[in-house]
Amino acid sequence: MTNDEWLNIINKIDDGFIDELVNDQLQRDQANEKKSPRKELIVLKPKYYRPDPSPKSRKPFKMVMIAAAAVVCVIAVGIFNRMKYEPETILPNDSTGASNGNQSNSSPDLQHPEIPPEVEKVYEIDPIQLNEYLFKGYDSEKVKQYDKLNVYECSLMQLDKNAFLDFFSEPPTQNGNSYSTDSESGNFVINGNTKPEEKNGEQFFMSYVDYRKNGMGSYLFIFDYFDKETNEHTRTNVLDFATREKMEKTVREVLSKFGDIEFQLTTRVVTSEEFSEASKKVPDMNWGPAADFYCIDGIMTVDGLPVTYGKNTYCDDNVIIAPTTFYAIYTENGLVDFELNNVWNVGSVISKSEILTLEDAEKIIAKQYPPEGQNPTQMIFGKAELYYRASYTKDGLRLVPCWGFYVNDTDPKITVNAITGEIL
Amino acid sequence: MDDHKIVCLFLERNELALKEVSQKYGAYCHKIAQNILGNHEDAEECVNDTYMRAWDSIPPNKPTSLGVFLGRITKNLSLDRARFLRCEKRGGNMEAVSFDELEDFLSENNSVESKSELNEMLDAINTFLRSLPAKKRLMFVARYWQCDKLSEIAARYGMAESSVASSLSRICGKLKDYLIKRGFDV
Repeated sequence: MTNDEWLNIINKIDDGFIDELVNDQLQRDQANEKKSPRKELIVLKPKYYRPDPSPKSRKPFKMVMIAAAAVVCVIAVGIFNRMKYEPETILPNDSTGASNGNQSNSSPDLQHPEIPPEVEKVYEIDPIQLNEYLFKGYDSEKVKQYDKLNVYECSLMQLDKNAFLDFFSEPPTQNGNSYSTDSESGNFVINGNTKPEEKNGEQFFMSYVDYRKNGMGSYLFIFDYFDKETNEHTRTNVLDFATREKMEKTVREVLSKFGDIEFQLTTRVVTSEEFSEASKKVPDMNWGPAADFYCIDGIMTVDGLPVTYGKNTYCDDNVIIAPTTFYAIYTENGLVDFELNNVWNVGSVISKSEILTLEDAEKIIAKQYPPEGQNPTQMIFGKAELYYRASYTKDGLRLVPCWGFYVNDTDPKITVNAITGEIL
Repeated sequence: MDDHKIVCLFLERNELALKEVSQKYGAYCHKIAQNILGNHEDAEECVNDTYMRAWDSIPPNKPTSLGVFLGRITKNLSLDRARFLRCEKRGGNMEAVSFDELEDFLSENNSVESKSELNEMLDAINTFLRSLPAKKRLMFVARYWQCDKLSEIAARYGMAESSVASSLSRICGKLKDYLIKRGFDV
């Protein structure tokens, strides 16, 4: 093989490998930005989010300190600053428990939660294509033949009296994408791929629904421009035009139209002042009128465990595996923004067995991390969480229970397969 | 801002997309271009061309991974430019990028002749890469796709440069064995 041929071949390796590298670099860059000399110590501080269908009842249960007590005291200040906004849904076990996440309130005596002795461990999941077959899951054979599944018929679904969720339908464009704005009202935009996307000669399968009453400048962009972490953990007020219960009921009714999918919802209250403030950060954006509103996001759960995917993964058929996520904005005009990404359908339970306890997972990490050749660890874990991770195997898509150890609240830094103990 | 929202901005023809892309992926794209071109000004030009290419191609494209999408554009533009510059300056069709540690792997004698053979080999390499531990795979892709310097990889993974070189050499050795076993003439 010549050098040119080598370059030519390597240039075409699967996107998944490049995506993995990009994400790795972005994470390292972010970690480096946050890094301070004080963090150059081993401090494992996992807390356990108890899996429960009701997100309000999740409880932390244990703090593990590996460093010496004196060192921990110093570190705790830094950690406190980083974690002072604990999700309100996480309640400390002590009875006095203000749930503000202040590390100084955390007791080493926090009880270990009861790990289910037997959990339903591996599920099969099937993707749902958002077109005529909206609510039907496909088996893996059908997914492999998704080219044959293209249909170009509209399906129309009423959301409320003012707006419709409409799957735009037309003969596929050259590359298979179709998206459009409602030409009559101009009020909302529907995107949907009725044909697998062509990219670099490969085909990809993806799906999402996007519904807006306010035109293209979306309230949903507020997610990136206001301090949602602060908001989530400190704000409990209710807006005049709807109680949280009423709002969530509406949201769940809409979600139910997409099949029997459980979602863990997180609701934030955004005031018109905050909205105006955030919108100044991006003056070019068409933000729509300032208003008080509820900001809701959700992630798919199975038996109360969130389903995540780590990074985008590509299976043999180039089906993109990504989390089923959901965002919505609810104003006095009702639901005005709604976005549902990557709809998946959970199939049957494949097997059951006991899972590793959190302690077991910690021991595995302590023994095997950092990998050989790396510097002594600089990891500080904010929490640990049991969740389902979607993996593609030779037998198809599977949901596998995993322990995720988080440095911050977003992406697990280290993931341990809760069945095999393998560090993923 | 996450990729999906940036792509939405592109689809809306909102020039904020370019700002967001520059903020999130500017350094990454510049790194790829710089690795290949070795010149800051040329790299900067390539990165700007990348943004314009992305602007022109989204829509109709709607990339699911913006990083990969931009990275591929940057790399192709950079390779084209490197080949052009080398041809122009040195009067010959020199290789744009070469890797010293691939000396045993590459040869001018055994050429991949057909496109189908090339595709088969690509499939085999993809399969081989999937079988690698994540860290080794990252090193491989960083070196041979992103054209990172050995020293950069070493710094990123807290390794000595010589360890990176020998590790990559072993991976390439294994890849060569893997391909030979599958009937490829390498």
